[in-house]
Amino acid sequence: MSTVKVDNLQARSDDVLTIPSSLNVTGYSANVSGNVSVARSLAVGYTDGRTPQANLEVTGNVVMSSMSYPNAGGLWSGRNMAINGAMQVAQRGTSFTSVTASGTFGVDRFLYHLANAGTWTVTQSTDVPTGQGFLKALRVDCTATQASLAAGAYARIDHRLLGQDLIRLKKGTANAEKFTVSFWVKSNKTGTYVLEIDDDDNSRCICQLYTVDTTNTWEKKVLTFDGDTSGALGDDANRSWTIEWWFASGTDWKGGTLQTTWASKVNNTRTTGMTNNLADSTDNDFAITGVQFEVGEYATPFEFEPQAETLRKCQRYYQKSYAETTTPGTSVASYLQAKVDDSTYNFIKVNFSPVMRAAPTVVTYSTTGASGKLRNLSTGADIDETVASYAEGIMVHNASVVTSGQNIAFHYTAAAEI
Amino acid sequence: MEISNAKYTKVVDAETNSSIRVTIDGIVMNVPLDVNNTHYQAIQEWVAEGNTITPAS
Repeated sequence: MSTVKVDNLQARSDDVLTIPSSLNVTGYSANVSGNVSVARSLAVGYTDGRTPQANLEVTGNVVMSSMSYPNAGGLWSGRNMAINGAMQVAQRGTSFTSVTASGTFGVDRFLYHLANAGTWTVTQSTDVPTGQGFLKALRVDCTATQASLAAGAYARIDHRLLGQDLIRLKKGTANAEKFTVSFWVKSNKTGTYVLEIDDDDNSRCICQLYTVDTTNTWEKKVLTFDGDTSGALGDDANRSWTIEWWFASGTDWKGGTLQTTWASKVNNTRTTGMTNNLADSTDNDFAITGVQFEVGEYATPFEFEPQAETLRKCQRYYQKSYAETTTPGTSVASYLQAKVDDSTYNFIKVNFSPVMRAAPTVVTYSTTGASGKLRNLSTGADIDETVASYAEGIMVHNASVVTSGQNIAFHYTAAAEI
Repeated sequence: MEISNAKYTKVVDAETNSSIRVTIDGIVMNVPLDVNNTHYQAIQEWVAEGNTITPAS
């Protein structure tokens, strides 16, 4: 074995220095300003046995198995700011038919926002991308058309978030971070669609077009957006941010130049270039899953999390006394029950877990499933109630006369959506 | 939202309104008097259109 000592080792014809077998650096460091590509393994800091003696420092991005990991955001767990991106939690039910207006959550945290754009069925679907680990998707199917859209008509899926959960974006500062939204999409209708990001605190937005390239085929889309140095988000539990998947829009929402940089929101710049109207045929459908919203300009692998963790996040906005998979209003054998010991001051208090983001709207259900009712088990009658709600719980009071010693039963839902 | 039959209710004491009992899209709900509640916001828009909330009994 001989030794050659050189000050610089430089490739002759290009910028790539190829070493066919191995390169051992026994000194303290090897500095490479370009890319490092290793066919088999890269061991750093191992000089004896397996005890690390040095660090691998990367100031760019780390790519593993074609997956790029970010150098901004810095979080390996909790990267995904979207909630229920795998569409696993559907507390309100899994299928909603004859949907003609806004308000339907086919899965938790994803709102179907709709006006004068046909009739739809909204479902938590089990049709998912093959081999990606997803089990559920949010799907909308057109069941009655609106081929000619009125000016203000629209159909889109909204994902709304709190400002206090988005502090890492550094929005409204000189250090505002780029961010990336990645998702899987499937539609029978190829063509151009719009993903819009709204800053609801400052009425600003940024939009991008994307295409569904192949009919009835799951496709992964990755859209990166610049950070916004204007308009800080509110550090509170109110709506600050909305991610919007548009698939139908009237002329009120297009005509100007698509807003592809951050600016004050102007309605006719929000969907320009989107050619599709998904409300024009009952053959049409649109499905998404695997939604990830993260800091940085690269999409990392989808961050799967335990069902219980996703459910807990969703319960800050919506929770119920029913079992997780029981649709509210269903007549069930088990329920909350209280024995009245005072015919006047017969309050039933229920604490929420977790505490909700704000005082919720509460719907009570009798054991028969009737809304706005409690069940007097002693008389076998449904009775009216009144409810005071707070972020931390509810106080339920029967509005009808109940005799001391009688038993009251009910279920409830509590909604503090944004 | 289809809003009807809105009426204030007093739950905690006889002096203070606690919530609005209202039918929205066919469901009887209890809406807190909280400006950050989206149903309360919708009821305020409904009132602005000329509708009224019945006082508590």
